[in-house]
Amino acid sequence: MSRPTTLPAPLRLTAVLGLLYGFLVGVSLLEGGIKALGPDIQEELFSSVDNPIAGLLVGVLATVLAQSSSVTTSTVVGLVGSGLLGVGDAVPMIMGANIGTTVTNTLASLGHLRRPHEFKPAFAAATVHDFFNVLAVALLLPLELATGILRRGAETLSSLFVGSAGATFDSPIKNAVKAPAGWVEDGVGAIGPSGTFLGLILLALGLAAIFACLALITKNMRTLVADRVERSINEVLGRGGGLAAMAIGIIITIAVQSSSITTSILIPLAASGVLSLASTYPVTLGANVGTTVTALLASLATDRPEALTVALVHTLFNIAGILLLYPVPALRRIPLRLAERMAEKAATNRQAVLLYVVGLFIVVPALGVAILR
Amino acid sequence: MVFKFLRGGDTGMESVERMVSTMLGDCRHSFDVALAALTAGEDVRQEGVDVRETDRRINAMEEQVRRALVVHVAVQGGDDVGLVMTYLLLVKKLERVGDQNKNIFDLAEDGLRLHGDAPDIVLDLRAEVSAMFAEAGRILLEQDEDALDPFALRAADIRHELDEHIRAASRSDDPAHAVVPRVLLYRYVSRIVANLSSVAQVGIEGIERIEHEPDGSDMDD
Repeated sequence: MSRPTTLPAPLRLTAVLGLLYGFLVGVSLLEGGIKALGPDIQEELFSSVDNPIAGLLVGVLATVLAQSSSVTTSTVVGLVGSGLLGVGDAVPMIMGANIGTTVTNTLASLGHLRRPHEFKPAFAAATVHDFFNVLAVALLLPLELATGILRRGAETLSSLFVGSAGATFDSPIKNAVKAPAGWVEDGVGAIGPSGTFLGLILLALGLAAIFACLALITKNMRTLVADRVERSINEVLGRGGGLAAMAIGIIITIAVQSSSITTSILIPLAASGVLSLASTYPVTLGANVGTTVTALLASLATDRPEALTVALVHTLFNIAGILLLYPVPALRRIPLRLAERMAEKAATNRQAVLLYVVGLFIVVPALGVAILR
Repeated sequence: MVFKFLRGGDTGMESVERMVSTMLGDCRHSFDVALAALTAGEDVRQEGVDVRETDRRINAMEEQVRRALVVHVAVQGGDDVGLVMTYLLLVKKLERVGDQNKNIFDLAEDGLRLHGDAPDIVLDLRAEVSAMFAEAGRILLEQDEDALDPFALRAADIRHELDEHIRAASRSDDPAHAVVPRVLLYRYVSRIVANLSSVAQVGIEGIERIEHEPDGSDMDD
């Protein structure tokens, strides 16, 4: 009674390494494309994110549209690596990506909409992620704007690894991806386009490479580690949550390179009553931390320490969110209670569900960006 | 934790197989103890504790298997849906066997004893039915398709034999207090055998075939 597998694991692992390389080439292309756009277009494109709230909403919207915070954060890291986007402007976008990524498991929970006894726990398991991330941003964004605590912490860490801001660091990975990125740039340039047009093409190719490679890495890694993920979740069931569940959330997310995969797996388990809300919550928080590894990887394809700094801000932000909201039981329960109440309402009022999903993830960010730019 | 994740181990379905195998072992144990209670002296309290504790273990294991199967589908998608349904059905049947063993013990607790002057078919079949638990487990583990038909035929023979005894007892002039417990006992043993036959059949052929006797008639378990 065993299941046949398709591609042998060593071959799949080799494919993943190749895709990882393609992803880093994509970040490098993105950087090259931005540089080729020219100062006027660069200024026009990114002037709106000077406003931190606009930056935050751009992060939410971009992640909702890409259905991947890893794509958004890697792109932001690439932009910072190109020198176009400052760390200060990038931080709210990174925080926005954290909110935007929660839409995937919320959408996954809608699959149970027609069965209220399943939908209620599924929706609560999905929205506990939303509420935690919104609360973390509500607490940490003002603090960051007022004190720059996350940025300074990330800069300190970054300087330990690669030197201070303003300098360049000789990333061996950057050197390894420079050549293929250069070939693509030369190849596109040889066809004819130059200046802004060349920049736009490289930008599109870079984004496409990041998007496609990440999607394929996730798909292949999910297959590669599925049995291990299954074992880990069974372990969460056995232990009933807590720090072990958080660690499992981190590990699964690093392994599959997608927090959405981790959090979406939890939805049917919550819907069927296998996993309680209290047990899904720490796994979700672990996924928040685990997903920051993608931006850290992307920063290796750039040669500016600021790119690593912004990737580290992402990690520190998620760790700080947990440290602020998780250890104290009264604070820990806030997202749980909010999610339970929301699910209670949602189970009896489907319009509220629609309003919540479309409002939080599309209307508010889109209107905000339109007004604030 | 990281090393634990990286280290190999049972796949989800392998651990389910292991749990099913444990359930079969527990079912056999409670069957043996329940039957032993029918031939024991007056005091069967110890056997009662054992049968009920084993039944709790069987029920808990059924729940654990169901959870593991939900996790399996959530993580791996629908590729194994046939296998998942098969295991759901298997553990349900084994859980029923646990209950039927408990029912047999209840008869012993209420005073039914098989020793004395009259030999009894259940005593004759006791060792054979007990061995069927192990055989069903072996068929599942080794996916021994060749052994399935002989196993199902033997199970059907036993059930027909027990049915004959049920009919004979129903027609006898013995008082109800003597006949009813025996009829119930034959019926429970018959259902246990039917469930074991189903476990082997479903485990080999999956759920696409409706369970039936080798002669094509419905299997009432």
